[in-house]
Amino acid sequence: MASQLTEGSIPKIFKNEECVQPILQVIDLEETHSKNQDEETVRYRLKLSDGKFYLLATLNRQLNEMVINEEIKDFSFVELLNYQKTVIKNTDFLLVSNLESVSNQTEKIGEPTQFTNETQENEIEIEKEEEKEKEKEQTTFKTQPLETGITLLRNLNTYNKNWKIKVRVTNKAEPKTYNTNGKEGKVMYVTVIDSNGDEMRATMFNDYVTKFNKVLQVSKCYYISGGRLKPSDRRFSSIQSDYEINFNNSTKMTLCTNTSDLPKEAYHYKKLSEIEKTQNGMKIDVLAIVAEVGDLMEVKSRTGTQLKKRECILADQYLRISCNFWGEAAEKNTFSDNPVIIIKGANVGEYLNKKNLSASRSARIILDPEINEAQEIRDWWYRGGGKKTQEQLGKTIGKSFGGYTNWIENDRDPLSNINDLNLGIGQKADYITAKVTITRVLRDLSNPVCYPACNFENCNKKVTLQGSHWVGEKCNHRIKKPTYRYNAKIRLSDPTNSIYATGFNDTCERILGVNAEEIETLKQQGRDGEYKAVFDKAVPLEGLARIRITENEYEGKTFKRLILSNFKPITDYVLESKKLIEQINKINRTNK
Amino acid sequence: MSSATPRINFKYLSEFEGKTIRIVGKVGEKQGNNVILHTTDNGQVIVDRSNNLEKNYQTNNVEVLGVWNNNQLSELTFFNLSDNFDFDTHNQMIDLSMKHKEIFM
Repeated sequence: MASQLTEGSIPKIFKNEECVQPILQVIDLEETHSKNQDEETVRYRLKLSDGKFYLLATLNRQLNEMVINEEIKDFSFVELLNYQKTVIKNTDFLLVSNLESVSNQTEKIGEPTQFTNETQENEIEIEKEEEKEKEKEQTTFKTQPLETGITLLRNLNTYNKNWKIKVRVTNKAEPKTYNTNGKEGKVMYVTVIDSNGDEMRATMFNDYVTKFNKVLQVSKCYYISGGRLKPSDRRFSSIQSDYEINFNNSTKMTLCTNTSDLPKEAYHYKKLSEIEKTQNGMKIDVLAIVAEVGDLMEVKSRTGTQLKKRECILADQYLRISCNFWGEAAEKNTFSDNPVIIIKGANVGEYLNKKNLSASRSARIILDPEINEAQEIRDWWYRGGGKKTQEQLGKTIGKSFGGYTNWIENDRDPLSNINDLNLGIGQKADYITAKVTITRVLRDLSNPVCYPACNFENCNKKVTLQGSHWVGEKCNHRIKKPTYRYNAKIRLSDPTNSIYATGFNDTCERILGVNAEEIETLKQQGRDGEYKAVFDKAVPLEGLARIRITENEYEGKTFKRLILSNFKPITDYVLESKKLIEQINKINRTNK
Repeated sequence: MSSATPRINFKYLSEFEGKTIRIVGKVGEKQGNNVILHTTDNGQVIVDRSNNLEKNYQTNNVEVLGVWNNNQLSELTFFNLSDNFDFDTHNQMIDLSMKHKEIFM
């Protein structure tokens, strides 16, 4: 039961390190009341514990129902999905905006203590000590005497010819025939692993293929001596070794039965995120879940041969990537039930600016390996992790993705989130996408909708009339005639809140339907009726708003600065309805 | 709560015997004064148009407002809907509003 809690997650959260949907225990849940202008707000405070440490937390009001329904109560296990870490009066708090209840429990796990900066320092001390212990262990392992006369793979080089290795064969590829410069031949590759966990590739040609193919069997162990060492070519192998061995007429092999010191496998796979950094054409080992499987297809290659192909999508907790399987790998594997997969020697490629993988017959595929990482990724998948792709992760966790071209597809945030989640306090601006109605565009003496702007090389700063010229206070440019640009305070309302955000030229032009020059002309010529008509026609306007949030300080007080960086009136009602239904269903699911 | 006529779907008709309701559907076969309405949740409703014969449906999808009685909807009035009207979304909306009756009815 205690193992359900995600160990070590509280320190990670405190240090702002990556922690994917940890499972924590609720302790000391209490109700607080605060009065604000005749309105009383109920908020729930609690401690979230990982069994060893806890942090103070507050639930976002939209989660209150979960407490009322008793989905969350003292000792409950919950899955933390979205939160913001903040500091209030020198204490660290988690503002929880989304969590899912896992199970109700009857007792506190462990004796958790509050994780603070001091704890962090103590933790670092303990970590350093633990590392020293580990190092001691490792050095003792290395100084343990090797079986006499056996050379480790990592110690092989081209100078010493009298080596003898003790290895297990982990892979044997099918022999291939080739034809270069009129010469025909056969080649075969095997991969071996030694007691140190290092892997190396071995090749053999022509007659030696026949000879050694009979001897070498996968997962069996051999003493091998004699052969030529060559530098390895990373284009053909993802194995982390500087050399490879060529078995030839001086090679001797004997079957070995004393195999307890030889590991069965070496897993050097990487996370899918490593692919981004890998050059196209190189090979890589990866561990992931097969999220989607395509049908077996036949495609014609450039040379006219028919190739079998199967398109799949691999996923891990952070990324999704497309992976094509070819030939036998495509035919043999149907990948039913979303297996965990390790691909050794997958090719990294790129298509339309997106990286992808392909696995042909030189790649090695291992399904559902029995290692901890495989269990971890499977657990994440069963907890519904597959439904949240990287893009979706980006939407809920990273609100600071400015200039995000698909902002319209984001989940809609209620305007109340600006204050509830205390957005804008970090160094980077926060962004939200909200469905709002524009209810007002301020246009009075203290809030003019536009201003005279410096048109010298896109400067756009405010200019004032000084004599016969217009001069910029900040830019010092002198121009004859300014161009008017919008800078208006726009009132946005939704069911949760009403806010004012500043709109700049492009956004206001889109909303009002006229450009700033025209508006200014109407105003200066005293055409009040037409001037008013522009605003009456534009408002109210329902649409999607992209709002940029930062925090500023003025005369000792902090306040939020909101900019309407984009606005799109709603035209696709079906899409918006579907979005609403999606959001309602989400709330209903968490409230079940 | 309000005097707005509730919007429902085929599966909920039994709860509204004798009541005035609104229901959306695709216009189907005509049988004398009756028309078959194919609702967004795949039901079929017989609409008795006797009281509203002077007006004709102008589109393929309509919302009919009428009294549900004895397995027939006596039409009082109707509203034309576009051919792009999304049945699936409408069906989900009705289900949600029936689930949260306290807000909508």
